[in-house]
Amino acid sequence: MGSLTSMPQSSRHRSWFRHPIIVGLRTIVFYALLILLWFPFFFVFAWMLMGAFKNQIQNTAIPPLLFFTPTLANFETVFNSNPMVQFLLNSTVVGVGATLLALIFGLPAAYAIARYRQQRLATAILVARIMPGISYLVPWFIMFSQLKLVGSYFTLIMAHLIITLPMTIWLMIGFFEDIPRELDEAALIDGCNPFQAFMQISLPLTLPGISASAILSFIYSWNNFMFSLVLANQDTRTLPVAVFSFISYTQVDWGGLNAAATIITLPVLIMILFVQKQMVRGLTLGSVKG
Amino acid sequence: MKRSSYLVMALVLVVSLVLTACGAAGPAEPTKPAEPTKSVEQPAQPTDVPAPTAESAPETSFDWQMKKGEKLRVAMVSQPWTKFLEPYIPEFKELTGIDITYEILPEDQFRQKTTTEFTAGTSDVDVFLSMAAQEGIKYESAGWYEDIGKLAANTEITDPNFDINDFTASGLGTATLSNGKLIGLPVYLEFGSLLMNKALFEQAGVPYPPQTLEDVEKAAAAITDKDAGIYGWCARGKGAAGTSQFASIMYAFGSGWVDANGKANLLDPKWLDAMAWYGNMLNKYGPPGASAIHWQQCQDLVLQGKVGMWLDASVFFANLLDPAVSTIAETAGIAVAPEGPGGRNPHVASWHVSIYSQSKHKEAAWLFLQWALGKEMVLKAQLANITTVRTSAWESPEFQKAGNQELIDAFTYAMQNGNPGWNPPVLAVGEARDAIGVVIITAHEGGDFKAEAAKANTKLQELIDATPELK
Repeated sequence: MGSLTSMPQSSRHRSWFRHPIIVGLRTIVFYALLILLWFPFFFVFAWMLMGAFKNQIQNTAIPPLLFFTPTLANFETVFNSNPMVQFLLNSTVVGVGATLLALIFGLPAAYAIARYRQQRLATAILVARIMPGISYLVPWFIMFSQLKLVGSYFTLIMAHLIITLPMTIWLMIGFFEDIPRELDEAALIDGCNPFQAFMQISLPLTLPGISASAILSFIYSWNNFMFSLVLANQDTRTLPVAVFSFISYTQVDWGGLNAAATIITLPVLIMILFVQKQMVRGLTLGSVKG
Repeated sequence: MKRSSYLVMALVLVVSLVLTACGAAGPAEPTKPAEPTKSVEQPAQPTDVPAPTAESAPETSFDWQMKKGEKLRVAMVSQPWTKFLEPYIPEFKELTGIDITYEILPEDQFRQKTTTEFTAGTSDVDVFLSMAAQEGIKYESAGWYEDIGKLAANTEITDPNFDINDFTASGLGTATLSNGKLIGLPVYLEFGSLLMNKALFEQAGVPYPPQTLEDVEKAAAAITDKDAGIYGWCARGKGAAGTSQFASIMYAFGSGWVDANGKANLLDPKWLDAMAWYGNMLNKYGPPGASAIHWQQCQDLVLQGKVGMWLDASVFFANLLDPAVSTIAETAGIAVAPEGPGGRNPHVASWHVSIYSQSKHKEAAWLFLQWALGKEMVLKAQLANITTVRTSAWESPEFQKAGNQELIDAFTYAMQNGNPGWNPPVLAVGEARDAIGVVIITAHEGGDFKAEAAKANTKLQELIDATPELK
């Protein structure tokens, strides 16, 4: 049992490798390791789901209960104690807005950096992302409150750009660098101006990368708590705030917290199921070579 | 060779993923409940509160509707009293014609948001919840608190029936700074207590309730059965989180954070004895993994009936009595933190409602405070199991009938004998707690905590020197 390779035919140069027992063993080892790898991710998820259907006493039981009578009370609590629909809407508006703006500004920026070798600019953009987000909060709050914009969608979207824009640019630099310069040059010779070359040649070729960075941007924005905490008001709060409303001074309502987390995770999960192929392709194409 | 290297790589990957993922999957550390506060200084004087005498209800121009049409923003921490108050907010709107935005956030997030806004100086918060012992010096130095004493003295804007002297002296003391300024109205008082499961006392055949440190240790020894997962004792072992509850033990041993001259006092033999006791109890009779134990971990174990005695703030008692979350609702008991050679002086703490000094609606905000902490609302809160600080609520026949007798006794004692100094009297409370937290961890791990105490002492003295005098 020497190989991990999932394709037995690749081992044809050594005949004992194809012995049924060996093949069987190899398959078992392969799947065992696969499950081991998969387990930690699944466990967190399963724990959240189970917790969402347990009451508080079941949730804190020692040892943890694997079998229990499920309750829907937590979901009722989540919807009754929070304007969840409003939160969902807020998160969507902010997430989509921040992602779209990041693409509009980030794609040309990444293209320019890749084509014209603007390494310093790229580093400067990265520094913006490396700075802890909390250090932006006070200046932002002063700025936006002077403009009377605290609590508006506009403010939140602008704030989230600090997350989405650098990520989009850095992911996309790699993609644009992968496109042979000759393609651009050919387009220019054929009469395109540089902007047309970008729009009509480079952009379509990097679609997998664009969708990957859009999805990642959206997820990061969707999960961001700190900016929404300070810059949103009662009406524009986003979903992660709902999760925190289950942690109080004397108690953590694990059931409500898990139920809210489940509700927040679902839309993203469904979205990813649909675009998974694009995303994986995008990630492997860009990041590995970038 | 290539294949075997794949195998090795895969194994390494699996192992590292399992390790990191397990780390990440561990119980998320819940927000740290900052302790119940108390004013940082020695028992703050209740201040000479300008008392609007209620008796004669003199004809004043006071009118609840005087600020009709204004709008208030009230920022609260998620805790029992703020949740209790929430459903009544429409009544305030009706009474005063003032519109309110009532925001509730968990403590850590609340502090992050309000300090960001206050630091920016452009916040539109009018009313907020605060803890003098945790952030009083810092906020007062920054000039963020409005003087409540002055507002209460103004009869034009104060309801003649408000009667600030109905608040207990210890309660007002928790909201008074060393410069004598009243910075808020206390919402409720909590004290260092023993939260107990009587069933385990009975099972182990030890007398209930324990009174002294020796009683407590004997009972803990008798109850503890680690093989069965039963622990006689639980307390916060997670460094800085433990300092507040340790304070009650510190006072029982007759020591304090600072000596009579205000110098760091952590090398006082009595202080070290207290620390030795605290560490030893956790080590011998507490659940494993003490360095990770905060109130959440203790409370979960207690509610599941696995712990005999839990040293923590009395505010948690309401959860022990609540059958929706507790398996020991029938057998839960409470007493003041135990007596030691230095007496029985639990720490006391409170949250208080304060008015932001930059508020543009201070008088409307004062109306809100008078309503939220007026006699009528406070009595309702008291009946909802909140340990308020109005004498009239405690003495009301409704409460005397309905209240838990053990709680009434313990609370009455704590109100008279409590010490509001649950934090070292410094500006950088967090840093001081971190330094002392290291001593706590070393103590329950059985290390040389005296060496750590020496380091913490030096640190504490530096922090004391750096603390501004309040004007």
